[in-house]
Amino acid sequence: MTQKKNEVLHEVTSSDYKYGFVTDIETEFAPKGISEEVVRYISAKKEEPEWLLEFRLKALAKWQTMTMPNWAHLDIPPIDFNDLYYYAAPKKKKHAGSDEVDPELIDTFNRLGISLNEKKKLSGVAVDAVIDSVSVKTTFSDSLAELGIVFMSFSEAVKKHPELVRRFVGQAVPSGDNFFSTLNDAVFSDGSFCYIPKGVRCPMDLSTYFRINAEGSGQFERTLIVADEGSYVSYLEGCTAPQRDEKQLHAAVVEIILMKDAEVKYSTVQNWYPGDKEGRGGIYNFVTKRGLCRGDHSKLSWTQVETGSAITWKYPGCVLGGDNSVGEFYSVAVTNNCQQADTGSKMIHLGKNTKSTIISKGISAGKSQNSYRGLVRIGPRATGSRNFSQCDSLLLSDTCGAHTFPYIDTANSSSVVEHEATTSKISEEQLFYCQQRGINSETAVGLIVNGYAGAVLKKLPLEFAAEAQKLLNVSLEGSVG
Amino acid sequence: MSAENFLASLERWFQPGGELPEVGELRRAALERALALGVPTTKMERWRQSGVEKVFEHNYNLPKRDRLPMTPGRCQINGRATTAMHFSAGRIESAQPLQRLQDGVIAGSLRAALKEEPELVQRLLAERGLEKMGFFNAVNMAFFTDGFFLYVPKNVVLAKPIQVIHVLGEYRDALENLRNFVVLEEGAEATLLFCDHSSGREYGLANSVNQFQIGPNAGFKLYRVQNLSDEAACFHQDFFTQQENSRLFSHTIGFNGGLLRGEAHVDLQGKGADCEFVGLSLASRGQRMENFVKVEHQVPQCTSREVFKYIVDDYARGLFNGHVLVHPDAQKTEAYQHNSNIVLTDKAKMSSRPFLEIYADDVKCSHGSSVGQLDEEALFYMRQRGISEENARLLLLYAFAADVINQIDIEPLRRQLDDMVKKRLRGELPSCEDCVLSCSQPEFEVL
Repeated sequence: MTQKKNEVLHEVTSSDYKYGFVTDIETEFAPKGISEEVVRYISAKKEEPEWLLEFRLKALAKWQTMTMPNWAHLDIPPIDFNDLYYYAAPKKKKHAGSDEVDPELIDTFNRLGISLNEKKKLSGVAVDAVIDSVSVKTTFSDSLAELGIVFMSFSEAVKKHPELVRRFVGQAVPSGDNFFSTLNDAVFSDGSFCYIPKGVRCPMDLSTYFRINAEGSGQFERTLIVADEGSYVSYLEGCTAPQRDEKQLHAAVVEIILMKDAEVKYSTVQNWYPGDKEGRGGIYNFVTKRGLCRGDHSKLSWTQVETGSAITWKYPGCVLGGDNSVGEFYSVAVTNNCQQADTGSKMIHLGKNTKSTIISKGISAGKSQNSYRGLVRIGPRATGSRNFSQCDSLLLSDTCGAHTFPYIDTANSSSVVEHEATTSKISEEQLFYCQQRGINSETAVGLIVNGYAGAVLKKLPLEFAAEAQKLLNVSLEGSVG
Repeated sequence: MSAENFLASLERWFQPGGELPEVGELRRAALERALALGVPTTKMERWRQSGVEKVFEHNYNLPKRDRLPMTPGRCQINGRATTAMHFSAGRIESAQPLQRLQDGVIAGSLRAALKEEPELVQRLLAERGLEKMGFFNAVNMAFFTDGFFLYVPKNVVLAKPIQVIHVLGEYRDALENLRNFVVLEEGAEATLLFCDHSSGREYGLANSVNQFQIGPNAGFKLYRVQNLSDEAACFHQDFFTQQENSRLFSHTIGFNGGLLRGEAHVDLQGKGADCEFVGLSLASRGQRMENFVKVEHQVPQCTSREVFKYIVDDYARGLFNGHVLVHPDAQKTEAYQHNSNIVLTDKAKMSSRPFLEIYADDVKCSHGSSVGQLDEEALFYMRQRGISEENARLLLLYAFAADVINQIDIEPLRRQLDDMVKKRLRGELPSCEDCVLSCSQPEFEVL
């Protein structure tokens, strides 16, 4: 028993980044750098219609006039945007049938704990697996189609449902919204597309798994979720990358459109390679995520567990346009070693009686910097609106930093906004209590951190929550003492 | 006028050998700094949502010497609780510009102090390096005409609070730069009351920079009352440095003013230093009231508290920008920020940015911010008991403000400000252009 317990402890507390392997597959690259040719190349590779190419070229022109934002509390080394591959796709083996996935890739995803075989799948989660710039397999597409649900890779959706994609793309994150989203507009490769028709409750969780594999490439995926009137879907997102000494760029866009009475839960466990203890390597995670609650009584909930990435720049937001719509944001962000995170949420209240909640728990250890940055804006017409924000930060070392930058703008006389935040270190008393009862300090910290983050973790779907809890411990490994 | 014009006027006005040639070199460097920085815009993080851009729409005039002085005594506190000094049109209005008070205390005009105590003043002026100077501070350095100067020697306790009254001139588009210095040596104690008024309906900008040095174990209290016309703009930049176990209490009430912006930059440099900021802003019509407080905890065991309250009415705008910065070695820091606001109409706007930036782990830092309205249930309760709706509202607003007023420990001042707040909430307190001495006559209760 003790033996077993020790093994578990060992696994939990001393494991390094375990998804750092590289799959050796032949990869096809676009020419290095960013230019009109590269954009045309990507568009041609994906056999895209003219309007999408125009969308990309317009974004490229706009992006070339923009400068990288520097307002975040991040120390970002200069990025040479011309030294990247914007498109990298695993080559299909010749002997394989057109629908079959390369066994190497199946193996890769198996090692990541993602099964692409529907029959073996027990947990009832449909997966769209994306490696570098292409989606390799979407499971359960057919059975979902029976309910009218469209769940497929973005490129496939452009071909099969161009009218849907064209109608909704760029609605929540308009073209040219910010530096990184505009870059994505120009060069986005694959991602997932999901449409839930009127009144349909999606019977299983949908998920996208993103994997960066190729060296020297960036990943620029785009996810678009449309929930029509009265529908419901729970969406999960996971991500990992190999362990490398150079940095890799990930600039994704997630757009969610909600019609009347629709509800979407979007959960992310972000576990990109965070770099080593000296800060070498790791992913730059510069992501734009925004939901548009267009219809009345719609509800969007973001839950995120951020443990990976060298640098995170991410502010999932809700534009609460419909009356009585609800936005929620639950986040646990853990930074260790040399990681930096500037993350938070934006709640833009436009409709009457809209409500939003922000619960953010930051945990910083090592030499990391962890910032919460959030905006709550109540427009003049958003009468009777309500926001509650709570942002707590926990400091685990005297060399890290924890920062809180809330922005609150209110422009009417019937709304109520409340914001509170605390920053402190782990309570000595709690640690002492655990240690008295024979729990070593590292495990005790794990317990306390899990308790501290509990309010957010319990918002995650079950299987995700277990993984997230484990991840928290792994990320904080070696941060005590 | 545009930003370019403003910069051009700075160059045009500058006379190295003119006003106070003793500081000519500093002024030239400051002017160059201002020109290099360029005017602030609302795109800059520190000035977001602020009304700063409006300031550059005017063609300014620097104060001339032949302006009519303000009638002394108009703004003095009831009961003569203080010693008063008047500044108007950028100069002190006193036959005896620099006074030697009890036990070596020196108080009065900075101009006179520069002549009589050149070494000390020169040192103080040069102390804050140019490289950290912001735009308005640099402009002030290049063009200040005078200011209030106070020196309190070791272990001396100033017997009476000193009231420093600054009246913005009656001429059009005035730009008045005052630079105030307060030095408290070890164990010294002093209380100051800064009153800002304007004497006409013309637009003008008062751009004041205040440096406060608080020595070890010293205690300093600063009260500020601002009641200017809706046309006037008033910027204050307070720079506090605090040594070991020193105490600072800063209390501000903004009654009226077109654009009131108070900036406080606090450097807690000695262990055990403590500072507290309390503010109340009552903005109505098109007024804008802004507070910016940055507290830097540089050493361990310091404490800071901030409580700012706003009542924003009509189409006014309020902005609170708080920033607590805890440096890596500043363990055992306790910092608290609180900002609560009442927005009374759908056209009024309130923005709140309570920031925490923390690089040490053994700290207790928290902040809270809320925006809301009067409690409907409390209103209903009072109306049930026969209190008219208007009075019930006034009572609730007064109760909201009373926390701030009750922290004033100069009794005549507390009574007077209490009265002014009541009048202000009833809409009866005019800004100073209509002043008929009413603010110093306590005469009625709310009900």
